Amino acid sequence: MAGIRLDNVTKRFGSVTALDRISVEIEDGEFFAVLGHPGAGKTTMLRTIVGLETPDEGDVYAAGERITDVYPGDRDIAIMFQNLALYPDKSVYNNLAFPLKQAKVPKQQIEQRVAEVARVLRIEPLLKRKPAKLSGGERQRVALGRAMVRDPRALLLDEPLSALDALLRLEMRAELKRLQRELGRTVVYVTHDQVEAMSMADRIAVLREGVLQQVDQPENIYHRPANRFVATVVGSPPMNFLHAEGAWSGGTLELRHPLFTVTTAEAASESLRGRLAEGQECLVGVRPEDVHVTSAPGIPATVYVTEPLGGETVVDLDLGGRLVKALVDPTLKLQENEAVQLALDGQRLHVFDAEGVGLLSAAGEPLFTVSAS
Amino acid sequence: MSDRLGWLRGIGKALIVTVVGVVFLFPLYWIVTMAFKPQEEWQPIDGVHWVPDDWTLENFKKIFGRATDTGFFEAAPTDATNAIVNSIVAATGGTILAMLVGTLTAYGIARYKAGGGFLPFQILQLRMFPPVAIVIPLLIMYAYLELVDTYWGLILIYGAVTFPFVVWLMRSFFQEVPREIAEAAIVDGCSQWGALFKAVLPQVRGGLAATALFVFILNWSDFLLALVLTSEQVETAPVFLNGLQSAGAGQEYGPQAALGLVLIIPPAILGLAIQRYLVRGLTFGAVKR
Amino acid sequence: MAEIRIQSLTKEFAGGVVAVKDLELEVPHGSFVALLGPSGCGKTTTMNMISGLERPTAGEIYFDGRPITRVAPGKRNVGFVFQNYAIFTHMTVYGNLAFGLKVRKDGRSKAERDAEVRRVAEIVGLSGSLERKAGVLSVNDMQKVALGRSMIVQPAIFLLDEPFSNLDAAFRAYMRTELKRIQHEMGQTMVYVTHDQVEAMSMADRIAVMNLGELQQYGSPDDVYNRPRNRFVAGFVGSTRMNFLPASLAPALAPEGRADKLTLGVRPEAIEIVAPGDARSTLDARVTLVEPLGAKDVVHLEVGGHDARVVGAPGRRPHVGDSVGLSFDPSRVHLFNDETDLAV
Repeated sequence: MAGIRLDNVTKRFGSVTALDRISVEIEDGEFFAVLGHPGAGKTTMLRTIVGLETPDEGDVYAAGERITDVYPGDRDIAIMFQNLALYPDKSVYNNLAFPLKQAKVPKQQIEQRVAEVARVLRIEPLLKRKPAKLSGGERQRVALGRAMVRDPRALLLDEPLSALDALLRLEMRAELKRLQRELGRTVVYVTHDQVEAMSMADRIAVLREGVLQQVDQPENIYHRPANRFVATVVGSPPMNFLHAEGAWSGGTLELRHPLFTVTTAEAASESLRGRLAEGQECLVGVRPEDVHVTSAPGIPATVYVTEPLGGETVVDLDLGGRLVKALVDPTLKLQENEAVQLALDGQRLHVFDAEGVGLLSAAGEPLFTVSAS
Repeated sequence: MSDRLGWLRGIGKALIVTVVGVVFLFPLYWIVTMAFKPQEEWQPIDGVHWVPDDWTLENFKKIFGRATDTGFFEAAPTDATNAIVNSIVAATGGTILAMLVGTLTAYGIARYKAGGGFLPFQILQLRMFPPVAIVIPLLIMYAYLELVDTYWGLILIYGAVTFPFVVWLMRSFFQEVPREIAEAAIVDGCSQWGALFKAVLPQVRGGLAATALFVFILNWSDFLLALVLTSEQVETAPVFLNGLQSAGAGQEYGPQAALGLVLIIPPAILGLAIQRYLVRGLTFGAVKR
Repeated sequence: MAEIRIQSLTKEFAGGVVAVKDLELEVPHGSFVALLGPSGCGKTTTMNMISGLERPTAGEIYFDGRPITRVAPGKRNVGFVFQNYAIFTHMTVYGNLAFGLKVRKDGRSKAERDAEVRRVAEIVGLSGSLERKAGVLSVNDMQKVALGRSMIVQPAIFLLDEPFSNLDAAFRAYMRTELKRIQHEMGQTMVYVTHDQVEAMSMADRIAVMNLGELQQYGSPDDVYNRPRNRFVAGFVGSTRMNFLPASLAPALAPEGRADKLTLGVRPEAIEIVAPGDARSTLDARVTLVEPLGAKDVVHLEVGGHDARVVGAPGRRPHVGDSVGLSFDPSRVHLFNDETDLAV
């Protein structure tokens, strides 16, 4: 276990529980994203790993050793703060050299290392400048460099791209990912932007109000969400949820909605037997890209509003009194209040119980068939 | 219509500025002219001499013990050099003491919320006490401790009395520095002390300079405490200045003014020396807001 | 419900900074216009001039034909919604909404005002929270209150300055839909400032793209997306940025002989990845990165020394280092001449 492990970590601030019994294992060399809304506890989690916060309960381990009481500077873990916290009175060179000077690295080695980091991050021409004279993107890279310069066993990044404008963010995303691949170091990346998490991480941990919801690869988070919250957190526009009732006919589970019925395949129905009773309410989840407007007869709906995004159009539809979003081809021109027919992709359906706990996700398997009522 | 009002507004502003300017600059002007006036012109019978008729350096020579002209009524020769040296020692010592203890206290309060929420106010309360109320008990205490008329005696009391100012001012400067800067230094391998000295203090250089100057001037101009707590050994300049009177000549305005002028110099030098630290904007660029 | 006409509007700040240069714009009755551009492009300054918070250095603004350039902001009958919701935290939601009506003293009865408050609460989705103190609401609800407060006085023109930028993504998406629907129902003229092209594209009837104080293009979302007038607009609009490559890489696509002075622009979703030798392939490329985003995959490539991106349905995902061919429809290619024109 060369990675970082949190074992039942709990952290409270007054009456607020910021982290609630968090247990997670981060592999060595992994790009690990922590995704959640502002205030979910993501920053607290990072600060606990690096040692700026001490857990009230539980322990932090690195490479098998217990580091819960180890002074931050001795953990060999670097952090890049959301507000960067560059040393404003020091030049870029000295900002980068600072951690090495603290570690009493010989001067020549410092020069070499700083030059190398500066080269990789393309900030060589900026070495003599002070932070005040740098652009946002440049400061970002200097902060990253300072974290990287000691070649720590883990790099913690707290929303490093959130303050950059859209174009720069895209560039930096690809660069960060490439960098991590090259360096092969563990990166723990905190963000509230699901696109960032999805595109960069090897695994994502979804955090909600201090409680871990699911830790899994992006694929699984997207196609097999453990609960409604996780299902909503990734994917834009977010997943649609429709209320239905469970009904057992023979060995098959049917999910009945006023306008359509979902029939579950036999084996899948079996797996749900103890979990959804006759007449019990449940939620059918379907992502907008899996809701199709068809010319063939299907589920009736009315167009509420259309949002053309250029490459695709988001259509908000009134389905039996509830709003449902669909992603359609931009060439399809729909009018408000127009009546249309919908088809739901049974291979991409999800079922949740009334509390939002995930029961089954098709994830590409033909587990469900949808027919209009 | 608004144009005419604008004109009046301009006149009004100019008037106020002039009045305020006169009120503030008049004492300075008076001291400057008085310092160069010979004894006859200090309180002339024919009214105020706005400008000396007879510019002279006598007063300056007098306060440095080299008067040649003994004047109409004889006055004892006096030398202010000792007093000036004492003032420098006491004021500097007191300032250093207050800055050291006060800055560390301020950091503890700002960063670690030391002493809970009330400590800052409790400290400020110390200053609410008019020194004149405690000066006699202080004298008794000093007598007991054998601190009367000693350098340390003055340094300690000057430090104590200006300590609250340092805490109050430095605390607000420290609050301007985001805590992540100290944290970054800690993660980079500094101890808590190292983080303070290498990462945080450089950010508040301007604050330190301004506070030090402010405190120095307070100590430098103190009269009451020095009057009570010193006699001959450590007499400071303000006390000495007060003593520039004689039965014969009465208040020696000339030498007093001259000494006053001389006493402006050390604070002025200090101010000029630290001027480049009084620069804002040291934290720009370090932190995103 | 008013028409806004902006004529030769210019704003210069002390120090020679020209925030807005010679802007000409017409916002028809009841339309939703977005002012879109990166920070510093002049969109907020333009908005401030429309609202009256800034005085233009030159030019005129007309509401319904009346010049209002020198009319005080309070008298222009515009409603504002800002980024930092200015609501009364100590009042209830009801109180906040009713405030504007009470202040107006326009002779309505208490019952009429009550009905109006409830109507607006319904529209913004706060019917259930009318009695709650505004200060304890969630950030999202607070912004709804702000929206409701400006709506209730029924201004002729609505000005919104990035009102949802502080809110979480899910709520932003929700408010986009709602705002568009509200605007269609109530028919007010809306001017919306944003740097997020998704917001502009999804809500506006017409988008005014600005950069460095100048208007780049003014048209419908479809116009701006499929017929960008210049390279800036082409690169700014679109969730995954358009690819720009020197036309010399594919001279067949450029008009006779001009390939080396033109830049080729093609949207990531308009490119298909095919096998390297495929007949349809126009260019060869090498895969440098693959980003799986769930609903789609973004593949980063290197083409003749330049970076490019292709967006496609998830599925057959190439590997990093693979050599592939890129195929695209020539009719979906844009050509740019060092920033000015395009010829397709």
